[in-house]
Amino acid sequence: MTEAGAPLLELRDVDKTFTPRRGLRNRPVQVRAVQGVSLALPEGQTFGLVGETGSGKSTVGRLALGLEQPTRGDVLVDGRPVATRSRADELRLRRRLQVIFQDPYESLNPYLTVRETLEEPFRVHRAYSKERTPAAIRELLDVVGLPASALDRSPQQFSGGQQQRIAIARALALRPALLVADEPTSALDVSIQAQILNLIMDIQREFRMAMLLISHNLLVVRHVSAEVGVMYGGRIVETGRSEEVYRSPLHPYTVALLSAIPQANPKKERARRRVKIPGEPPDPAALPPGCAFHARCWMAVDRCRTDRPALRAVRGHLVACHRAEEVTVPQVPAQPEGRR
Amino acid sequence: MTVPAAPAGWRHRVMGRAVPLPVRRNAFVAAGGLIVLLFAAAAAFPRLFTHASPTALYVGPPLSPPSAAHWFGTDELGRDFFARVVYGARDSLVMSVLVVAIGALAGTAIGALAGFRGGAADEVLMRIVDLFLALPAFILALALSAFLGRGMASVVIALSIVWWPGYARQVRGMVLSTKHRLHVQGARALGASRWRIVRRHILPFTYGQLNTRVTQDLGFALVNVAGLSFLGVGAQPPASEWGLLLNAGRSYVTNGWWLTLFPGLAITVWTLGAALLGDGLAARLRGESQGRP
Amino acid sequence: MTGSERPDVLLRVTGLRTRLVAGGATAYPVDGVSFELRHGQTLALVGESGSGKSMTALSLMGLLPRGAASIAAGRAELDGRDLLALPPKQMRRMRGLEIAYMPQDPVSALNPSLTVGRQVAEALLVHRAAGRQEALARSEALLRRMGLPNLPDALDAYPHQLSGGMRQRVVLAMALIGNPKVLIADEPTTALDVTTQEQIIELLLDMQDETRLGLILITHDMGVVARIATDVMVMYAGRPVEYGPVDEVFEAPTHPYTRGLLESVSFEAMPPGARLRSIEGVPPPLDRLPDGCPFHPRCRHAVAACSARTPDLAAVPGSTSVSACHVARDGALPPFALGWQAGGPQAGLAGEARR
Repeated sequence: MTEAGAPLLELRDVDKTFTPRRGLRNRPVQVRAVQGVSLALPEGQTFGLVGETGSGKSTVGRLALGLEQPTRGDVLVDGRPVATRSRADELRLRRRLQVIFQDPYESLNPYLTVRETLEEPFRVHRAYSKERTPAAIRELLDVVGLPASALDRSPQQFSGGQQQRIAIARALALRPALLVADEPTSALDVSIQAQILNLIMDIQREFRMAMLLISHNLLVVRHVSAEVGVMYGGRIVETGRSEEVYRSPLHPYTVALLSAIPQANPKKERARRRVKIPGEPPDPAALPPGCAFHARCWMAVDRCRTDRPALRAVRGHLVACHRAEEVTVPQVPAQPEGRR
Repeated sequence: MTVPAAPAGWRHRVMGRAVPLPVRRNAFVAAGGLIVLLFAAAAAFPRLFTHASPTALYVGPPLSPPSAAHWFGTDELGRDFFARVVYGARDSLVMSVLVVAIGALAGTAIGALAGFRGGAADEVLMRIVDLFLALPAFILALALSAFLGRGMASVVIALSIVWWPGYARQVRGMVLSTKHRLHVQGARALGASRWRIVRRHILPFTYGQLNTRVTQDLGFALVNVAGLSFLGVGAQPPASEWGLLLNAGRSYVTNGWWLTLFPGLAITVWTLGAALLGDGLAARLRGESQGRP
Repeated sequence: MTGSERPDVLLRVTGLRTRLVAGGATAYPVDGVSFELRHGQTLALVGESGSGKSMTALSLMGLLPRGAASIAAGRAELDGRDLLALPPKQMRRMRGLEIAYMPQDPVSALNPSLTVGRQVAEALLVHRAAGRQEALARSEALLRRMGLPNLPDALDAYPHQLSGGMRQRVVLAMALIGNPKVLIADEPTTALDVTTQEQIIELLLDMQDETRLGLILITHDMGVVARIATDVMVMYAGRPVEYGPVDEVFEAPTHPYTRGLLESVSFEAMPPGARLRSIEGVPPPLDRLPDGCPFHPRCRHAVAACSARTPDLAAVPGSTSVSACHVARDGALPPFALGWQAGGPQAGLAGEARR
C-alpha cells in the first residue's frame, strides 16, 4: 500500500487511549480505543474502515480530522502533523479535510438556516464574498440535488436524506481534498441510502477527493472504496484491496463478518455455509491479552492467547493472524431444508 | 425534489437569531405579557397614565382616601399617591431590569467560559459560584449596599453581584451538555474559532431557558430591590420607589391603608405578571423539547 | 415450504385499518392489511419509516396510543377470537400469554431499576400464571436458553450493565416466557452489530422450531427477511403493496417499490463503484397522499391509470404473490433482473458501471 510522494493522510502507529472515570468510586479506566493503527491515503483514493461496536473505527476518523490527538504515534496531513501550532496552520489544515457524520439531524445547527449553514465554511475561512459566495452556494445545492428554495428554511424541516445532502453540501463548500464519511447512511431509510451513496460516489469522482469511509457494512465499503481496513478491538486486523479482501478474506474475523451479513436472496441464504461465533466484540476498556479475537475464534491455538499477531503480508493483503495461511470457513453444514 | 412547506408562524427571531418555536396562543403568556407591557409603559411614559406630579406638595388634603380626584388618595404630605406610584415604577423597574441584565450577561459570560474551557478555569469559577450561592443572597446584598453607601446605584451593583452566580451555574451546565453535540464537532472540523463556536453553536441552545429565567427574575429582582429600599439602603426620598413608599406608609397603616396597599399591590402584580410570562415561555419550551418540532 | 401439508392458520388478519387523528388531520397509517400466519412460519412486514409496519403491530396488540389512534376496521382472529374486538381486560390477558410483542428499542423497553431476572419473571407474575419462586426459576431457565452468560449471577444484573446483544436476549425472554403462540418482533436486530444480529436470528429460529411459534417480523432489512421469512408483505404509506412467499417476492417482485428496495441493497449484484439504482424522491406524508396509487409519483413504470385509481392487492399473471399495481396486474411490468440469479454480477437494468 505504498505510493510515491507524501500521502494526503497518514497515520503512523497511532494509539488513542481515553481515561474517563467510571463506576461508583469514579475510578479512572483505560479505554484503549485505538492501538497501533497505520494507514496511508493518497490524493483521490478511497479507503474504507470496517468494524463493529468498540472496534475503534470512529475514533480513527476523529483522529484523522484532528478532533482528537493521538496518545502515541503521528497523524500527518500533507506530511505535516495535525497538531497545529498557529491559527493560520489550523485553518489551512481544515480546508483540506471535511467530514459527514452519521446522524444528519444532529450534525446541523437547528438555529441556522440552510443558507447560514452553507455560508459558515466561507465565513470561518474568511473566504466570504458578497459577489461570489451566493452563487457558490447555489451551485453546491445543485450538486447535491436540493432546490434553491431550501436556503431560507431550517434544517429541521427536511427529511433525513435531505439533511444529509445539506451536510454534504457544507462539507464540499471549500473543495476539501479529503472527506471523512462516518457511517453516512446508517441512519437513513434503505431507499435513501442508495441515493446518498450514489451522491457520495459521484462527488468523490467529480471533485477527485480522497475519502475515508467508516462503516459497519463491509458490502457498502467494498462497493464504494478501493481499499479496506477491517478493525477489531482497536486494531486493524486485515487490510488490502476491497475486492480481494471480499473474495478471499484471510482473517477469521473478516470471514465471520462476511458470513454474518445477510443478503437479499432467500435461496442463497438457505444454502450458505455460515460461521457462528459466540460472544460479542470486546470492550475496549477490558481487552484480552494476545489476539483480541481469540476467545471467539474457531481456529485459535495456544499461541493466540499469549502472542499478539502483527500485521504481515499474506497473499497480497496484510493480515494480523498467526494462522492466516490456513484460514478456511469451518465445516458448518448448510441449513436443513424446510428451515430458513 | 419537493421541500416541505413551512407551517405558518414557524419561525420568529429571538435576539436576532432564528428560533424555530411554534407560536401557540397561551393564556398565561397573554396575561403575563399584558401586565409586563402595562407596567413598562408606566415606567417609560408616566404622562400617559397621569397628569399629576409625584412631588407637588399639598395638591389635596393630606392622608385622604382614594377618590375620584385622587385614585390612590394622597400621602402624608398631600401628594397625589397615584402619581407617586406611577412615577415610582420607573425607579423600581429600571433598577430591577438593570440587576437582571447585568447579572444575566455577566453570569452567562462566566458560565460559558467555565463550561467551554473546563479545567482549572472551570474549577476556580465554580468554586466562587458555590461560595456565593451558599450565602443568603439578600443579606449579602444588604451588607454590600451598606458598604457601598446609600442610593440606587449601590443597590444595583450589590444585587448584580449577588445575581450572576445563578446564571453562571445554569449556563455552564447547558454549555457542558451542548459542547459534545455533533454539530459542534462539525463546526470544530470546519475550523471555527472557539469564540464562534460558543456564540453560534452553543449559546443559542441556552436562549430558550435563559429567556424564561430572565423573565421570571424581573419579578424576583423587584422584590429584592424594593426590600433593600424598604430597609433604607436603596432609593432615597423624595423618590417614590415602591419599597420606599412601603416604608413610609408603615406609620400610617391604620389611618392611611392605601399608602401601603397600592405599592404592595404594584410589587405583587408585577412579580405575578413576570412569573406568568416566564411560565408561559417555559411551557412553550417544554413543548418544543418533547420530540422534534 | 412445499408439499400439500401446510400447517394450520394461527392468526388471520382481514382488512385491518387504523385511524390516526393529529392536529385536525386524519390519516390511515395502516390501510387494508390482510394476511394469514401459520404455525411455525414467519411473516415479514417490510417497509421504510412511515410505512405503517410498526403501527400494524401496535394495532394487533391493542397498544395504540389512546385518544389519538383507533381501529377503524378489520378483524384479527387468533384461536377463533377477534383480537380487535376484545374488551381491554381480555386483551390484557392475551398479551404475553397468547400474543407477545418485542419492542424496537431494548434500552427503553427495559426498566432500568429492576434486575433482569425479575423483569423476565414479572411477565409471568403479572398474569398470575405462576408463583414467585416458579416464575424466577422459569426466568432463569429461559435466560440460560437465550444464552445469557454468567448465570445465575446475571439474574441480578441491571439492564445498563448488559451489552446490546444481551439486552436483546432479555427482551426476547420477556416476550417468550408466557409461551405465546404468536410473537411480533419489531426491528429485533436493527441496533445490533452484524455478528450479534446473526446470533439473535439463530436464537429466534431455534425457538420457532421448538415451539412452532408464529413469528411476525417487522424490519427494513431485506437481508434479514431473506434469511428468516416464509412470507413477505411489503408496505408503503400504510398500504400493503405486495404479499407472497419470500422466494417469489425476492426473485420476481411484482411491485415497482419492492423492486426499488431490492435494487437499493444490491451491492453484490452490481460491479463495485457502479451507481446503485435507487428510488427517486421521498415517501409522501400520510395526511397528504397522492391520488390513486401512493407510489406513482416515484414510479418508473407509472401510467395514466395509476393516478386515477388506487390499486388493490390482486393476483399477478405468472406469480403466486399478489401486488397492488395496475401495471403488474395487466402483465405489463418488464421482467426483473438484478443479475445475482445468473451467478455473477451483471449491470442489471441500469447498465451504468463507472469505475
